[in-house]
Parts: sequence; C-alpha cells; structure tokens
Amino acid sequence: MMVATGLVKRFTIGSTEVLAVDGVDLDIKKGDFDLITGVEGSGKSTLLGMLGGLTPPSEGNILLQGQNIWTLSGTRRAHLRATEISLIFSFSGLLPTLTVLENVMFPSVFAGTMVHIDKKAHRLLQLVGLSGKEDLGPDCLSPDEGIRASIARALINDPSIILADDPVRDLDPEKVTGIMEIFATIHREGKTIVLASRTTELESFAQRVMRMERGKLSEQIA
Amino acid sequence: MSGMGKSIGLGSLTWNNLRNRPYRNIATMLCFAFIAGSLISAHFLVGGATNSLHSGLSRIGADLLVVPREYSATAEAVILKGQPSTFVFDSSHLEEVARIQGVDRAAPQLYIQTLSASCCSIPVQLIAYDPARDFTITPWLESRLGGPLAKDEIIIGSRIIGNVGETLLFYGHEFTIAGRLEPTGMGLDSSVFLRMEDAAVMAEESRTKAAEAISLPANQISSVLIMVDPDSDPSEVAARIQATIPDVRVIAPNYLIMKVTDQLEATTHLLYLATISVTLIALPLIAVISSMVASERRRDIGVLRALGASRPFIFRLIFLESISLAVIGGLIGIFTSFVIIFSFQDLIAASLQIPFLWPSPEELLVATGMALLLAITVGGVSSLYPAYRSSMLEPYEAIRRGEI
Ligand SMILES: Nc1ncnc2c1ncn2[C@@H]1O[C@H](COP(=O)(O)OP(=O)(O)OP(=O)(O)O)[C@@H](O)[C@H]1O
Ligand SMILES: [Mg+2]
Repeated sequence: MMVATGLVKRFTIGSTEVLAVDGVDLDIKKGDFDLITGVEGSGKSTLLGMLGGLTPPSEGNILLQGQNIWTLSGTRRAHLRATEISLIFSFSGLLPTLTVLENVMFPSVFAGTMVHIDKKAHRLLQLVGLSGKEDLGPDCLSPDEGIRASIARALINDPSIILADDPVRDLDPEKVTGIMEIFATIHREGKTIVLASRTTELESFAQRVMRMERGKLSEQIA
Repeated sequence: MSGMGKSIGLGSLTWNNLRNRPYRNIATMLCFAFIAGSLISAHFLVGGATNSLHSGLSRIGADLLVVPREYSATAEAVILKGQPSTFVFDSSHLEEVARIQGVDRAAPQLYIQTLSASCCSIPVQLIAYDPARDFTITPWLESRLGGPLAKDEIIIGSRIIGNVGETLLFYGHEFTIAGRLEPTGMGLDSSVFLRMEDAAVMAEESRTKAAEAISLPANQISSVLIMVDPDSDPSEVAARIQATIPDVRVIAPNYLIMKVTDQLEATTHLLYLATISVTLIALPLIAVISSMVASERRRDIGVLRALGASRPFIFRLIFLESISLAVIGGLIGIFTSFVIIFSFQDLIAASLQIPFLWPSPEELLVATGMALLLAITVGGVSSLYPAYRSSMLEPYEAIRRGEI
C-alpha cells in the first residue's frame, strides 16, 4: 500500500545539520497496524510528516499505491491528504469555531463528498464514544475526547491509510487504553494504521512493532 | 443544528473565525470605518455643495446677475445663504443694462427683508419681480401652475412653512400661497416670490396695517437678471456691462460655483488628506494585525493543510477574512457618516459657509461604492502578504512550530 525507500530528512539550523531521519525503508501492507516507538527526538514525527505529505524528504521516495506522492503537484498532494491519507496528532487540532460534529464533517469540504456526510459523522462520533457531544464546542471536550473527535474526523473521507503521531502522548495513562481500543476497532474494520509513540506499552495493540533510534528504523520481532 | 442544511466551507469558516476574535476585529473594522467614512464625507460635502449650487443656480435661471457694486457681497449672501437684506440701486440701470450689446432680456427684482413674519421662525427674503419682464419665474409658473401669479399670490421657498392655498401675512398684507419651490440648499429656500405691484400695495398699506412700516423707495430695484443672447459669451457681456456702468457689479453663477468650491477646497483637502493618512496608517496596522492572527493560527493552518486544504485555500481564507472586515467596517463608516451628515447638515453647511443639498440616490450609491471599494482595496492589499505567508507555510513546520 505504502512503500518508502531510502528516506532521509536533514534539517539545517544555522551551521549545524540535524539528520532527523537517516535512511528509512518501510513497507506498509494494506490492513497493517504498525507501531513505531522511539524516544523524544528520535525522528518519529519527521517520518510520519514525510509519509503524510506534510514535509518533503531530503532523499528517498514514498509510493502510495504505486504513486510517488512527492512528485505530485501541491494541489494534487493536498487532495491526496484529503482523500487517501489521514493524520492524527497529539493535539486534537479541532477548529475552535466549529462544533464537534462540524469539525468531523469538515474535511469533506476538501474531498468534495458532501452527500449524507452528517449521518456518517454521527456514526463516527458514536464509534469513538462521543454520541451526544455533537453540538458542543471543542472547548467543552476533555483532552481525550478531543483526540477521539480527531480520530472520527480522520475517518470521514474513508482514507486508505491513517498516520497517528503519538495521539496518546499528552493523555492521562488511564485514558490511553480507551483510545487504543478505538484504533484496534477501526483496524479490525480493515483500516491501515501507522501509529508512532514514545510509549512502549502499546505493543499489544499492533501487529508489527518498529523502533526508531536517531533517525534509523529497525523492526522488532516479538 | 445537525444536518445537511448547515454547510461548512470557506464562507462559514471565515465568518466563524471573525466571530471568534471580536476585539481585534473591531479594531480592524474601525480602521476600515474611518477610511470609508472620511472618503464618503469628503464626497458628500463636495457633492452636496455642487448639487445645491447647480439646482439653485438653475432655479435662478439667469446667465448674469447685476447688483449694486457696494452690495455685491450682500447679494451673494442672499443667493447662497439666504441672509435677508434690503439693498437697492436706481431703476434707470435696468434700461442701461438692457441696451448693452449681447443682453437678450433683463428683468428687475427687488429684495425686501422681513424681520419677523407670521409664518416663519427664520427671517424671510421677499423677492418682488416684474411679471412683464420676468423670464425666470414665469416659465416655472407656466410649467407647474399653468399660468402666472394672480393678485396677492406668492411662491414660497422650500423652508417656508405653509401649504398651497393657505395665506401668509407680510407687513400686514395677506398673501395666498400658489406654489412651492423645490429645495436648493441655497438662499432661495427661505425666499418668497411676489409680484412687484403687490409689493407696492403691501408697502403702502404697511403704514396702517403693520407694526413696523416699510417704505419702498420709488424707482429703485435690487438686481437685474440677465439672459444673454444665444450668440454672445456671458463673460464678454459681463465685462461690457461692468465697463459701461461702473457702479454695478455683475455676478455670474459660474463664478459663484467657483467661489464656493474655493471655500470648500480647504475642507475637502483636509478630508482627503485624512482619508489618505488614515489609509496609510491603517494599511500596515491591518497588515500587522492580520499577520498576528495568521501566526497565532499557524498550527490551525497546519492542521487545515493536513486535512487537505491547498495553499490557495489558505490564501483565500486569510484574504476573505480581511475583505469581510473591510466590507463590514466600510459599511459601518459609511452609515455613520450618513447619519452624522444628515443630522448636522445645517450646522455643517453653516460652519463651512457652503450651501448644501442632500445628494441624489444615484450619487449616494456611487459615493458608497467608491468608499467601499477603497476599504476593500486597503483590506485586500494589506492582507496580501499575510495571506501569502500563511499559504506558503510548510504544513509540518506550521504544526511543529505551533506546538512549541
Ligand atoms: N523542522 C525542524 N527543524 C529543525 N529540526 C527539526 C525539525 N523537525 C525535527 N527536527 C529535529 O529532528 C529530530 C527528530 O525530531 P522529531 O520531532 O521527528 O522527533 P520525535 O521522535 O517525533 O520526538 P517526540 O517524541 O518528541 O515527538 C529532533 O532532533 C528535532 O529537533
Ligand atoms: Mg514527535
């Protein structure tokens, strides 16, 4: 489904160069649930940023269903982010001026699929356990509810792959399992998921666990 | 609330974003209100004055006006501001003027000032004309009333209180209102036209009927209205009159327009200067506020991009917000200016020493359009850079920076 080869990402801050991602090869199969663990600054976000079409690799290629996402035009790539790749972050990123339901519906604007989108949004909010909170503002949600809403939002356009960049990082430990169970559920329904986290206790939820260390990725055989 | 009816998109996102930052938006809108307001005020004053002059002078209906030399300033005040006065020169001037080459018709008028009249809180200027020679009032009477004034009938200016058919008392003499002139914003609005023969009777009777008697000196008139030959140049005729009869002064309506425009010039310059300076101050201010908003929302912008927003979408979002503020602010400024000028038009006209007539709806529309256009241009220009910057942000960078 998604194949990355020889990914390198360099940042230059003044005269020093940071090698955030240092030669990563990754083959994500349809229906996978991959976990990438790694300490702070190991390069997880940078890797997901490149896979998600948010920042271009310094070297290497990323193919999504055979298509090189970084040779597309910006507008085509934006459309790809709207329809094929969904990103979830450590923060909800809900627009404060829209209700929870509207936030979930919102990405459909970019995909251009508006028909019955509200029914679908209701169903997704039910899936993530936010039934009854549709008309609230994002400010009324707890941090873990915010993440739940952002998961629902990530699903609205039926993406082929979900990239989650440490969605549990800022949550209370007792809230983590609830969130991970949602990922397990949508994985069971056939979604492809790559989830990065500093937390190593999440391994039981994933099919494949990889470890990121100073920009290098290594597969762990459990 | 939850349904297809509620659409989400660029428009509603813009609107919601605006609602979310009321104070900053009010500041920005005030800038736009000032820009639009100062421009429209300037337009209004110039437009109102010119409008008044044109309708007023066309009502005067003469190419030239001859008045006593030493009273030329007073005569202008009568015409422009309606300050009632009585001034006269010898009626032999009428024939002298009429004989001058290029003068087609010459009609005498006599200005009589009333100190108090039953009708009016404002002093009234009585203008007596000679129906036999008149060429300005008679055509109006023909077209509006279908015939000349009968005995003791009068035509009143728009600011004189009284309805057609009612009677008014001047110097103890009863007159019947036969018609009413359209507003001109000039002295005509507080004038009353009557026939010279009736004025003479009124003066005669005033000794017995009025509290204060008035005597009209025999063979005296206040002014001569002139219609110039179609083939002659009014300014040449004016010069000829001036050269032939030294103790008169010839006033050309065009000269009055110039004079008022001169009087207005300082004020309009000031207003246009205010518009320019407000614009120049507002431009960077709006740009800074817009940039602040943009950088504050960097993470939101990054998230929008991650959700599938393209660069043009982000550009349009920031740009549209600014334009919306410009339109709302501009309309507020325009409306406020309307209200202020409307409420204080007399005061403004008096303090600026200009005649003022509310511009026509078309002129208002054009002025409103221009003021709005200026506000939108300023809004558009000042948001170009912030909108561009925001749209060029790399989404990963925007999210990462926003998080710190
Ligand atoms: N935009 C950037 N500019 C400069 N350096 C960067 C940038 N993004 C990442 N880095 C550097 O690259 C390295 C990897 O950062 P990254 O954010 O990918 O790590 P991470 O594994 O996601 O860490 P965390 O668990 O804290 O989220 C770090 O040293 C970071 O400082
Ligand atoms: Mg990270």
